Amino acid sequence: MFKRIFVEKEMRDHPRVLQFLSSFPNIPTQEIEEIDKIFNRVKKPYLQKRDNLQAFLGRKRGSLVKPAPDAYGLSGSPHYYFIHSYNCLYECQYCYLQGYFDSPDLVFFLNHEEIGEKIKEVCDSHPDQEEVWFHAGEFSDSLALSHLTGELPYYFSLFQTLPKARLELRTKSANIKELKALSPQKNITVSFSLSTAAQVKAFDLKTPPLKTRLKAMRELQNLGHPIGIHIDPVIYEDDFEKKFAELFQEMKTQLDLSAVHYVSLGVVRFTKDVYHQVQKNYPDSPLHGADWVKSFDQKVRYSRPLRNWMLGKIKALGLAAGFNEKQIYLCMEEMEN
Amino acid sequence: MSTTELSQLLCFAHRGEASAFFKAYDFKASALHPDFWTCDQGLGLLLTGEGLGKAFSKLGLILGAYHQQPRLEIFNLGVAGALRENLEVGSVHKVRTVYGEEEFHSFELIGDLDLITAKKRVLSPEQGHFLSAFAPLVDRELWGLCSVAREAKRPIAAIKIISDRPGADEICTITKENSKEWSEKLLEAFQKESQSETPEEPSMIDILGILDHSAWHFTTTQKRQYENYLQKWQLRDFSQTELQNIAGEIDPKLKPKLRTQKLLTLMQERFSPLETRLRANLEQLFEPHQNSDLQVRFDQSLESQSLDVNLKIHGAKQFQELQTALQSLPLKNFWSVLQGEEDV
Repeated sequence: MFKRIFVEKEMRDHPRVLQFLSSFPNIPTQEIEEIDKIFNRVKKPYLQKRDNLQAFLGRKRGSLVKPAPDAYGLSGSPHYYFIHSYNCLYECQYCYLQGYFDSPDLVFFLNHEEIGEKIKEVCDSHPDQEEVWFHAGEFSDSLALSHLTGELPYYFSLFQTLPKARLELRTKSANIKELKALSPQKNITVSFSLSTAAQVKAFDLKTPPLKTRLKAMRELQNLGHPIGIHIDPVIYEDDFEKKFAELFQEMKTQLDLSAVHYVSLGVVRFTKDVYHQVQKNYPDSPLHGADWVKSFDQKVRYSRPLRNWMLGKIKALGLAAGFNEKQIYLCMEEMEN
Repeated sequence: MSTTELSQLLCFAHRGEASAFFKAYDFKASALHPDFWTCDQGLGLLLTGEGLGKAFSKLGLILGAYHQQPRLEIFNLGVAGALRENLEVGSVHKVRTVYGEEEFHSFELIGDLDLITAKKRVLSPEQGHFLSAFAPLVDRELWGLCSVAREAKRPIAAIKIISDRPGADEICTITKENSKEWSEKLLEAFQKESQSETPEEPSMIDILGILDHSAWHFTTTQKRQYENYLQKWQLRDFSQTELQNIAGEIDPKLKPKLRTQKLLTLMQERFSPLETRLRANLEQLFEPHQNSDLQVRFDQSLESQSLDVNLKIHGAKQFQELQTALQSLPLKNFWSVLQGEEDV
């Protein structure tokens, strides 16, 4: 998986570092002073993640918990995200990480206790709120490598002591081994990103197929773990309604829809830089066959009527499948339309 | 000053690295610079000297003098230090990514190993250890050569032979002693590389065979648009038969110019059927409200929620009529269309 693992000197004897390294006894490791002195200091080509992927283990410094952008997640509550990892093993052709970091290498911050202290502090700063949301997986996949990084038991214990805090773990992975060993908690939701089977195959390179994701979701639901769904990014394809009707039918077959915490919908969008990266990294992607426009916020999107039409159709299909109005929300910029 | 025809420019830091090339080709001194030679096989040879500054200035000078050459590929050949233990001294590698010490920008070449160009000679294992976090190879010039090549829009490749590891004793002596053998290895790798054919960029195939057909007429813009659409057609995985059917349905009696325009419109409709329908809906929506005194235009990309309205006012009575007409504009329906509603 990794060509080389870099470890910050300060963290070399940390139990989580030792646990991580024990999974890679034959991979060269190298001690470094600080991740920031190496990672992102030079522009490393994104597609080197295929054959020259490196991992960095260290301590997150600076801002550990950050306010989420407006209209992020269910409305009405404060939302924050915390960062314990940068980058992802998967290769989703539309992924904004292509243009966000200047290296595809994976960074794991293993000082979870410090992050946890900050989460407590933020939670306490909202005495009047019924719920305060914390999202993991803004810059990485929350489950894909959780068996190596081993942080889930810590966050489960932490959120048990913070009843009004809500944790969202975002993923496209079916790696639920760690989760299965933990007792479900009402305030921890595992949210899965889904799209039609054909789109998963075409765009979500190296991710588990739709059926495998749904099977993992069912297993978690059967164990009592709250789950959420992100249908984001929505991409237009021929027979759009038919394909998405099939997706909802699959969900209906596999899941108890009434117990799904929420379904968020968002249409594919790119910043200009990310779009250029997509062109460079995936020149043959069907994404380039679409008619894109520069939208109200300068992002590259489908035309306004098309994206509204897609959202409207998907929402109607979701309601017809058995979700209710309260479960479905439109995510991010779509709300500004 | 007249310049010889060149297709490849070979750049070495030191004469020792180039010794086998001087033997293999009949290089003659050039009046352009004392460290520059050319030969009848279309090769140029430049000794840049060590370090970034010399790489910038000397390559800049030569590329400036040869700026009118249509094809000129740059090859950097020479020794590099190994920053990682698993690399064998004497092994030859093509460079894949070129990093610069304390430089953010990198260059992507075609090769198998990455290299970082150091600002100073790497004399201590500590400095080597730090640089090894970025790349397994180190040299003193390549990043500078790539920068100049990029500015001049010239392709560049690099072949390096591993000479030593940082901190090795008497590195200059070792390099001098082995320079003949290493230069021969570089020559062998260069000649092998030159013989391998570069795959040509696939050109867009006119699958309908109509670009030069007398029944069709393409302006330069339309030709570009048609090629762009053909590319999209392939990316969207639409079939060739479908395209042939679309073209086949266009009235053969139409003039070539109109046939071309019709084909492009039909292709565009196939790409974006919803937008096509919505645009038609909007045209129909405003059509009954328009006349020579009141023109309504909407954003063709359908992104803007604003309408452009153009009014001509001739007199008080006509102005009142215009006000009534403005009030009856189907604005609600317009915004509904932008919300993705088809039936308005």
